[in-house]
Amino acid sequence: MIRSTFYGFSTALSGMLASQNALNVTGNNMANVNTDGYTRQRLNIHSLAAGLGDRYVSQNTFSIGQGVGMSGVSQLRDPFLDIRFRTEASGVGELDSWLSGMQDVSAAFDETQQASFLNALSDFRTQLQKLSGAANQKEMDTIVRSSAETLTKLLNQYANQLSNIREQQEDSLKDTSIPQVNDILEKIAKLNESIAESEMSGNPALELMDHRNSYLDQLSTYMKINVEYTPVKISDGVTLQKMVIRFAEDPADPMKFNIPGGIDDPDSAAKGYMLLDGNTHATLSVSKNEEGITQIFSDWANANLTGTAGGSKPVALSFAGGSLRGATELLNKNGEFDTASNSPRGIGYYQKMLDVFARDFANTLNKANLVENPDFDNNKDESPDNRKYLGGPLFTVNTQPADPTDKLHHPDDYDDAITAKNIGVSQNWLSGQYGITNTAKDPNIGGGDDSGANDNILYMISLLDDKRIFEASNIMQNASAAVQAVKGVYESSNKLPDYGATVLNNGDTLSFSVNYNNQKGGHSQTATVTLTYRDGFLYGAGGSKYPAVTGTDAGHTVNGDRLTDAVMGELSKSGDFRDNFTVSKGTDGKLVFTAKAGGTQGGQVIGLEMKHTNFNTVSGLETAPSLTKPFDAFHTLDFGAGFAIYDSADADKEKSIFTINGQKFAFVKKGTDLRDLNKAGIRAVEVNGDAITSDEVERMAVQLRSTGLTVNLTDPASLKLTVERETLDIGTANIPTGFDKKTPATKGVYQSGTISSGFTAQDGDQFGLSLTYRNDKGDLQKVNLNLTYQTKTADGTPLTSPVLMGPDGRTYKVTSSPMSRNTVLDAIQKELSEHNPSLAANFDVTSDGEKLSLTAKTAGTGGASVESLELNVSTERTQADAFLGGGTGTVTNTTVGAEGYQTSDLSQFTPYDGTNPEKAVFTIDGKSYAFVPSDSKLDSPSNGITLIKMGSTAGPVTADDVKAFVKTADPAGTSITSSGTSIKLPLDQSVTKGSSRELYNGTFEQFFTSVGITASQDVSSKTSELKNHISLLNGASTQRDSVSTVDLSEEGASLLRFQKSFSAAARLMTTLDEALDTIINKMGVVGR
Amino acid sequence: MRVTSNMIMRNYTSRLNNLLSDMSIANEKVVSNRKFLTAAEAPADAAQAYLLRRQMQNNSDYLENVKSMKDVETCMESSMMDIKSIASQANDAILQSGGTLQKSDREILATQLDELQQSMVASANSQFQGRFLFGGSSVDDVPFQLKDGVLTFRGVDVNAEPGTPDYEKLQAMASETIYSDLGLGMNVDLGSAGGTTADKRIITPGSAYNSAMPGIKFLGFGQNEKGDSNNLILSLGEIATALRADHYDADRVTQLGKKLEGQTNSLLANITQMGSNSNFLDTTQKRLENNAFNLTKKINNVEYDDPAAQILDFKQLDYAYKAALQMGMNILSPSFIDFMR
Repeated sequence: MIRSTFYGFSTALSGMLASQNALNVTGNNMANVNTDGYTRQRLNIHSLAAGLGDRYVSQNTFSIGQGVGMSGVSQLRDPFLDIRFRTEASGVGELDSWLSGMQDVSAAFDETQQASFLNALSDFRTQLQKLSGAANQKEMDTIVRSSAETLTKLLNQYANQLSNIREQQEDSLKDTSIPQVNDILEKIAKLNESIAESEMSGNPALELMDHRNSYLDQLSTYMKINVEYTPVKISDGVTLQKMVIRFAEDPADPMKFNIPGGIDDPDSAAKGYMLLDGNTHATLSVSKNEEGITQIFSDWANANLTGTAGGSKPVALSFAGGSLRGATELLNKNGEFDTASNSPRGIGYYQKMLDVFARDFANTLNKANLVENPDFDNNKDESPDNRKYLGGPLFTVNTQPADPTDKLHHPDDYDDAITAKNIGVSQNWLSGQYGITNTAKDPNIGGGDDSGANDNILYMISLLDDKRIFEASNIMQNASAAVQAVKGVYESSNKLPDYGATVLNNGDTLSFSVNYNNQKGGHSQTATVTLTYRDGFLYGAGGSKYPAVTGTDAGHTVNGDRLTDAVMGELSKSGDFRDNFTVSKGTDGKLVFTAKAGGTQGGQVIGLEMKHTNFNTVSGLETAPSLTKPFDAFHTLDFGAGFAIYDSADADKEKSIFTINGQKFAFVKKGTDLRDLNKAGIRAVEVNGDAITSDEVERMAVQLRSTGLTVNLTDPASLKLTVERETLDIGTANIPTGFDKKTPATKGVYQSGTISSGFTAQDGDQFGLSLTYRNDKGDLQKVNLNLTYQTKTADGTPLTSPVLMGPDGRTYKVTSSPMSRNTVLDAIQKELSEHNPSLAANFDVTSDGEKLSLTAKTAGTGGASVESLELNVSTERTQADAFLGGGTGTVTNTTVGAEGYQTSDLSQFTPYDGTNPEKAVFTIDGKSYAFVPSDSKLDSPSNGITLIKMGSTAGPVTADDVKAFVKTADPAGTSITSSGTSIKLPLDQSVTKGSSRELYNGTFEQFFTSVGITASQDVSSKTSELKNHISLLNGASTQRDSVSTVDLSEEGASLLRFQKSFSAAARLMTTLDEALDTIINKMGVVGR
Repeated sequence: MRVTSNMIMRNYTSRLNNLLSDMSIANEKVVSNRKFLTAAEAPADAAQAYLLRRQMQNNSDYLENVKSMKDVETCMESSMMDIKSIASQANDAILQSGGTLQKSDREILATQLDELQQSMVASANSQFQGRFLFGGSSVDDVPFQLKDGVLTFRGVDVNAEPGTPDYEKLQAMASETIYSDLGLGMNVDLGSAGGTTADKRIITPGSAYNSAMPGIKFLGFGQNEKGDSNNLILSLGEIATALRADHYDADRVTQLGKKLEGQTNSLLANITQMGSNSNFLDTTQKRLENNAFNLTKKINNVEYDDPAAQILDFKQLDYAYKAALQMGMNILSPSFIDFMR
C-alpha cells in the first residue's frame, strides 16, 4: 500500500497528544494527592490500527499502526473492596454505638475505684449485726433505718442514671443520627442527578463519583447497605448507571420485620429494603411507641423492588448492622427478659434487673419484718386490736404516704409497684410507728419484755446471706394482673328453714358443719358451728349471742333467717375457714360461700350438714350426784392401855416420851422438875396418881392442841384421844403401847342422784357419763363414757332387741320398753368396773338399781376422790328428720361458677410483634399463645409461641379473635369456651401469664455484683469484638488505599515516562520533518 | 501489594494514636497502682475483688460481734464471781457458827445472811451497757426481785414446785437464748416452736453463738424433794429463817448449809463453763483476725499491682511512642520526585 506522505506526522501527533494528556492526568493525580476520597485516575489509551487493507492482497503489502488513540479517563477502583469496606464499617458502627451507651451503663455499676451501692448494702448488714447485739436500743433501729435510706436513695440514683443514659441515646438517635442519614441520602440523590446529567453530556464526572463514594462509606456506618448499579440506556451510545441502595436485612434476627419484597419474601429475588432509587430517596424518622419501644420508620414503607412511596413502618429492627441497629438494640433489647434466646442485653435489661433487685429486696425484708402475733385471738375477727401479724413493711414506694395505724399487714402482701426508681423507706418506719421487729418468739413468759431477743434480726441477716432465685417473671407487672381465675362460689341448695316442728328446749344444740378443701392444699377440713338454744337466743362459741326468734313467736321457734345470721356470724370467726372463704347471704336467704383465692388454688366447699342435738330432760339422769367425802386421817391415842409415866429416876424413862410432829410430850410423875423437861423441849402433864386419868388426858389434849393439832376426846372412859390431821408424824422409835396409829380413815363414797325410771329411747340416742376423779396418787383423771342406743346394726340390719352400744363394740341388751334405768346403770357399772382398769383400781363401782355409787378403795385423804360426776342423755337428730320433721330436702352444696376459671379481658394483651413477649404472651397449661396482627409474617409457632392471627392489623383483641384462639387452643371444643373477650377454662388447667425465667441464683449482694459484672463483661467482650472489626476495617481500607490512592513516586515515574514519550513523539516529528526536507529540498538537484 | 505514601501516613497516624492512648492508661495505672481501672477491663478480677471486699466486710462484722461478746462475757463472769464469793462468805459464816447458838447470836448471823442475800440479788441484777445481764431475753427490766422472802424472776416465783405452770415458765426462761452471728455459718429456720403452728425463727444451735445467761440458770430454781428451794439466793433466806426459828434446829441449819455448798459448787461449774466460752471467743477472734490479714493480702494481690512492673510497662510504652515519633520523620521520606532532575 502506498502510504501518504504525512502519515507519519499524524502518528507522531497522536503520540504527542496522548503523552500530553497523560501528563495532565498525572498532574491531576499529583494535585489531588491529599484529597479525601480521591481515586487516582488513568488515561485510557490504545494503539490505532492502520485503516483498511489494499484491494489486492500482495505479499509485499502490510500495514503499520497509526499511532495511539485515547478513549477517556477512568478511575482505579475495585468494587469488591468497597463492599468489604462497607460491611466492616457497618459492623464497627453497630458495636461503636452500642458500646457508647453500654460503657456508660458499665461505668454506673462500676465500683472498682469508688465503692457505692455494694458498700451501702454491706453497711445495712453491718448495722443489722450491730442491732442484733443491742436489740433493745431504739437508736440502733434509727441507724439501721438511715442505712436503709442510703441504700434506697442509691438505688433511685442508679435507676435515674440508667434513665439518663437511655434519654441521651434516644436524643442522639433523634437529633443526630437520623437527620444525618437523611442528609446523606439527600446528598447522594443529588449527586446521582448531577452525575447523570454530566454523563449524558459525555463527561464521566469522576470527581462527583468520588464524592458519592465517600457518602456511601459514611452511610455504611449507620446501616449495612447493598449498592446496585443498573445500566439504563438513554439513547444509542449513551448508557447510564442507575444507583439503587437497599439496606440489608438480618436473616438471623427473629424480630425481622418481614418486608414484602424483602430478603425473606419468597416472592422476591431482591435482597434488602429500598432506601434510595436514583435521584429519589426514603426519609427515616424515629419515635417511641407507648410501650417505650424506640422505632425507626421509613416513609417508603411499601417500597420493594419499585421503590413505591407511601405508608410508614418501623424498620430499624431489621437492620443487619450499623449504628442504627446498635442504638435500637441498646434501647429495646432486654436480654434474658425477652423470650428470644440470645437477645442482647440493652439498657432495659439493667433497668429491669435493678427493679427485680429492688422489688425482691423490699418484699423479702417486708415479709421478714412481720411475725405472727402470739396473742391473736383466732375466734375474733382480725382488727387493729386483734392483729394476726405484728410489724409492718420496711420499704414502700417512696411517694406512698404513711399507712394509717389501723392497717393490717400480712406476709403475702407483695408490693408489685416497687421499682429501683421509686423504692424508699416506708413512712411508718420513718415516723417510728414500728421498727425492725426483733423477735418472733412468744412473748411474756413471765414478766419482762423480750427486748433483748434478736432472733428476727438474725433471720434478716441470714436472708441477706441466703441464696435465692431471682426470676424475670417478677417484673412482668402487666402480665400477672391480666389473667385471673374466677373464685369459686358455693351456694346452699336450700335456705336454713324455720325450726318449728319440734319444741326447742334450753340446752338443745344446733350444729352446722362445712366440709371444705383449703388454699394450703388441706383436704376435707371441717368447720363446725355449734349454737346452743337458751331462752330465745342462740349462743355461740366464746359467749356470742344471737337472737333466735322473731317478734311474738317467742315460743321456742327458731327463725330460719335468724339462724342463718347466727351461722354466718360464727363461721366468720372460725380461723382457717375465714382465711379461705367469705360468707354472705344469697338470694332467698341461702348461704353463699365465696373462696378468697381464685382457681384451683382457692378453697372449695365439699359438703354442708346441719345437725340438731336434743338435750333431753325427761329421765332425770342429769341429777347432780351426791358425794360422800372421806374423813381426814385419824389416829387414836389410847392412854389407858399401859401407857408409861415419865419418871426421872427411871433408866427407861425415855420410852415414856412420845413425839407428835416433832414435838415431844410426856405424862410425868408428880414432883419431877418441869424446868429440866422444858429445857429439853418436852411438854409435860403431871400425873397425880400412879395411873393416868381422864382428867390428865384432858390436860394432855390441851397441850396437844397448843401445837396446832385437832384433838377430840371421843371416849373419856377408855382414856382415848383422836387426833385429826393431814400428816401426823409419830415416828417409829419410843412408841408406847396404846398408840393405834394404824387406825384407818373412812373410805370416800360417791353417789349419783336417783335416776328416774323409764326412758323412751330412739335409735342413736346417747347416754353419757362424764366423771372426773383424782386417783390415789393425786392425779386428775377423766372418764367419758358413751352408750349409744341402737336398734339396728351399722349396716342397717334390725336387731332382735335393742342394745346399748359401749366402747369397742360391747353391747348390753335392753330388755324393756321404755328402757328401765337398771339397764343403763348396769351397763355403766360394767363398763367402769370391768373395762376401765385405772378407775377400777381406785374405786369399787356399784349400783343399787337407782343410783350409781363409787367407793374409794383406799381410805383417808390418800384415797381416790371423785371431783365431778355427770350423767346425761342427748338425742341427736340430723336435719332431715328432726329439723324438717322428716320433711323435704337437705342442705347440700351447689357449685356455682367454680367449674372453671374465667380470665379477665384478653384485650389487655398487646399484639405480638416479636418483641416484648411479657406484654403479649400468655400461657395455658404450659403452652404459650400470642395474638399477632393480620399482616404479620411471623410463622407459628415462633419461639415456641403459638400465634393467633387477629382480624385487624392492629389491636385491640376482639371477641372474634378470642374465638379464633379457642379454635386453635382447643380444636375439640371440650375444655375452653370463650365469653366475649375473655375465656373460661376447666379447673384442672393452669393459667399463667408471661414467661418466667430464672435470672440468677445467689444472695442479694451477689445478684447486684453480677449485674455490674455482666455489664462490664459485655463491654469487655464487645470491645474486643470492636477491635477485631476495626482491624478488619483497617485491612479493607489499606487494600482500598493500595488500589485507589495516589503515590507520588509512581506519579513521578509517570511524569518521566510521559515526558519521554512526548519527547520521543516530538523526535519522530523532527525525524519525519528531516526526511521530508531531504525529499523536498535535497532531492532533484541533478543538473544544478 | 502497591504501597502508597497516603496509606503509610494513615497507618502511621492511627498507630501513633493507639500508642498514645495505651500510654495514658499505663500512666493512670502507675498513679493509682491498680491492676485495672474499670471493671470492664478485667471483669473476672473485678468480680473477685467485690467478693473479697464483701468477705472482708463480713469478717469485720464478726470481729466486732466477738469483741462485744467478750465484753459482755467478762462482765457476766465478774458478776458471777461476786455471787460466788458472797455464797462463800455465807458458807463460812454458817460453818463458823458451829452447832449450838444463842438466840441473839443466831439473830446476828441471820441478819448477816439477809444482807448477803440482798447483795447477791444486786449482783444478779447487774447491768452492762444498759442491759440487764442475767434477764434472759428480757434486758430492759430488772430480772430479780426479792420481797418478803419471795424471790421472783421476771415476775415468776422462783420457788415454784416442779410440775406447776410457773415451774414450766421458769424452765422456759432458763433456756432462753440470745444469739450472735460470729460467722459460724448461721442458719435460721422458720420452724414452729413448741408445737404451735406459728412461724418461728429458730436459730440452729452451734451455727451462732449464744450469749444469754438467764440468772436462774446458774442460781437455780424450783424446789427439791424436801420442799427446799433450789435457788441459791433463797437458800440464804431459808437458813436465816431456820436460824430465827423459835425452836432452833441445828441439824436443819447444817443440812441447809450443805445444800448451799452444793449450790455454790454448781455455780462454780457455770463460771468454769463461762471461762471455756471465753476461750472459744478468744480463738474465734484470733481466727477472724487471721482471716482479715489473709483477705487483705488477697485483695492486694487481686486489685493492686507491683509498682516496679507498672512503671516498667509505662517506660516501655513511652519508649515506643518516642521511637515512633522519631520514625515519623523517616517515613515521610522523599519520593522519587525529589530525585528527578
